Amino acid sequence: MKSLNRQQLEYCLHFDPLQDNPSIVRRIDRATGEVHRVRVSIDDHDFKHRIQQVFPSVIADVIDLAVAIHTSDRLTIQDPQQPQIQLKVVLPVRHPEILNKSTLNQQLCQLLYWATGKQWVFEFERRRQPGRSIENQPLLCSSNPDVDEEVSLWSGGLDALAGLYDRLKQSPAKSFALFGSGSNDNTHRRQQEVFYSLQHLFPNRLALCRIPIRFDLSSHLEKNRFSRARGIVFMLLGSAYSYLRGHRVLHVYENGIGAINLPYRKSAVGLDHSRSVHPETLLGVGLLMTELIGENFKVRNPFLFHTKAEMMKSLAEDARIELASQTSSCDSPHRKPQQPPQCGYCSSCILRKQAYAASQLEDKTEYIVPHGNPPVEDIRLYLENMLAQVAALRVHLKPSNQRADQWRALSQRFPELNDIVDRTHTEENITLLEMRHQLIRLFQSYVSEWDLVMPSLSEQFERKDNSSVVVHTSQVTIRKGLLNR
Amino acid sequence: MPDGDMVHRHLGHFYQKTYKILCEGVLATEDCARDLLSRLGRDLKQTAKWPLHLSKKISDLLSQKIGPLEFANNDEAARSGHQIDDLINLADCPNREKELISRASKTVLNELRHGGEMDTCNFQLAIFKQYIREKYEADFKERIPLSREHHNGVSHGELMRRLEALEPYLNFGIHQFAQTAIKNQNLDNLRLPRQVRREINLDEDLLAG
Repeated sequence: MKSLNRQQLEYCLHFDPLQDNPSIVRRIDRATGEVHRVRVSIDDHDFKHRIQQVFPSVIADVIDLAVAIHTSDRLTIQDPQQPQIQLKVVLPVRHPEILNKSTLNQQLCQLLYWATGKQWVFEFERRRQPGRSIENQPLLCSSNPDVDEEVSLWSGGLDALAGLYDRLKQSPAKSFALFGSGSNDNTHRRQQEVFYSLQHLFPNRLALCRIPIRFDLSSHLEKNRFSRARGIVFMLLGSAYSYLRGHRVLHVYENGIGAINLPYRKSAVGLDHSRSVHPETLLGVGLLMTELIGENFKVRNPFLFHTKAEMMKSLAEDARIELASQTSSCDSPHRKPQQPPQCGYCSSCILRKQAYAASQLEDKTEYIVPHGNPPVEDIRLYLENMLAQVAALRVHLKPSNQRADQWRALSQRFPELNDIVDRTHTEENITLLEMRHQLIRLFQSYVSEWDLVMPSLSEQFERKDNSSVVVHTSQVTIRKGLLNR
Repeated sequence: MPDGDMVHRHLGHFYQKTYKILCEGVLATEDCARDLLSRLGRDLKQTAKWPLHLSKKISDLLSQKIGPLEFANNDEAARSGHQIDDLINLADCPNREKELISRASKTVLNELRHGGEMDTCNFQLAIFKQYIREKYEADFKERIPLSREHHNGVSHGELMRRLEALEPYLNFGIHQFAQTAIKNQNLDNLRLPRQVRREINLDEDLLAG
């Protein structure tokens, strides 16, 4: 059954070879024949911080692939009520013989379908032009490959900071090479500021690399606001960086609740919640990299079984109030003058507040709710939805103290949890039963944290004239609750 | 959460009338349930063609592994989960319906995995019934706004109680929809359950306020 004029839903994204200068991408609408030209560029000069003297050409292909995925996903919009749009991506690469291999191609398309809900088709042509300048500059002196180092993604968010801070403290001899895309100017600046603050605290143990992707001449095209491929793009570029630093692992620091990102209510279906850092996405990117480079490669999240508050434990112990407040979590930062940039009422801001409260770290972040002028729209929308999920978790974890019964109830309400355990427990180096138990513990902790902070957090969402009083009261209440734990 | 979540702010236009009827509380429970089922049936006719087709394919897949011990084996259950995904991914239908039939199939698989009793000769009925339930919950029950007060001043708790009261009728209606669709292999003749005729009470004072 071919439905809804399949032809109307097809696009072809034709890329010129990606050079140092902006390159042309043609977006062809197959139904109308309309062709739009956009310019895209990648600034990969920071990849000079590598250990290999010669830049591996297959890694240059990984970078180009990431740019092509990012561009194609941003320039096409998938309506969940309609059949999948088909994207054909034509990209010149240095190794079409590797990228066109059917197993690799299939893996790539399946991974992108899982993350974006679009049907992807790739055609990799042989690149005739010489590579970008970074590929052609051999290193005169490379850094020490024997140094104990971990490469991790650096978003400038609270999870990235909390995870890194914890790792820095747990492994005093280790260095950390951070990778950020920083395509947005504000994000770029914030990543740098938090990095400098950390560098001051942990001298000679940190390095930062940023590879921004930028569009040009694209204002005439509507962009996909919910670019669900973002996580994969970020991980591919981070994996390239990790490889160039001589490693075969990339680390992503994300709390388990956010990574698994279960639906709040049953009305949230599929990609209403992103799979950017979902354990199956990490597994998929690792497998894809393994196929590409011909060596075992992994993407690991050491905090999969931690709540956000648990991740913040080290920050809280050292009372790193100012440092943590430099980060941003907001899903839709505001740009209005005299208003704080973070909204305080989207799910990411709410989880941030919840984690601050539960970890007993003073929150000095300025939010629109409660510090600015609240918008006309319903500011309780996300809070109510998150609380509905907490209520569902509580109900399904309660019926028994037997873990087997708890898992049965939990997986009946959230059947996707079975897939996560079945498919990733080996990657986590634990048995299936151990992973189930870890997840039960994770959700139990999350519910307990909410039980403690819910009354005070909810107070911020009551419309009151004197919002500062509300914040003060809530902090006091939270403290009392936690001291009684 | 990472990259932002989409949260549905309002109930879809299709179910607005049912919502108002429930809030106003004028109709008897059975009549409310019939109105809801009637809308659900119309919704299914528009959207459930592929899910019906997929439920058959998934049922055939599970039927090949008929022994209950096979589902208790975690490796086999994991393999079945992958095979279900592969079947669904190939279908040319909207993502939302794919996700709902996936949820339904995985719920049935989970039941089997934990030794739940099920008619192993008719997995399709179990899967398609679960799909209809998922659809009802995704589009109506769990899409009702979480506001404290609803239309006509009804509290959220009261509205949920009224919804719970519909459950026996809904279960019966959903079962009947699924049976009819599977028997006909299409969704053209989904009929509402026969209405129970109320006995006439000859002593009832029809003029009383």
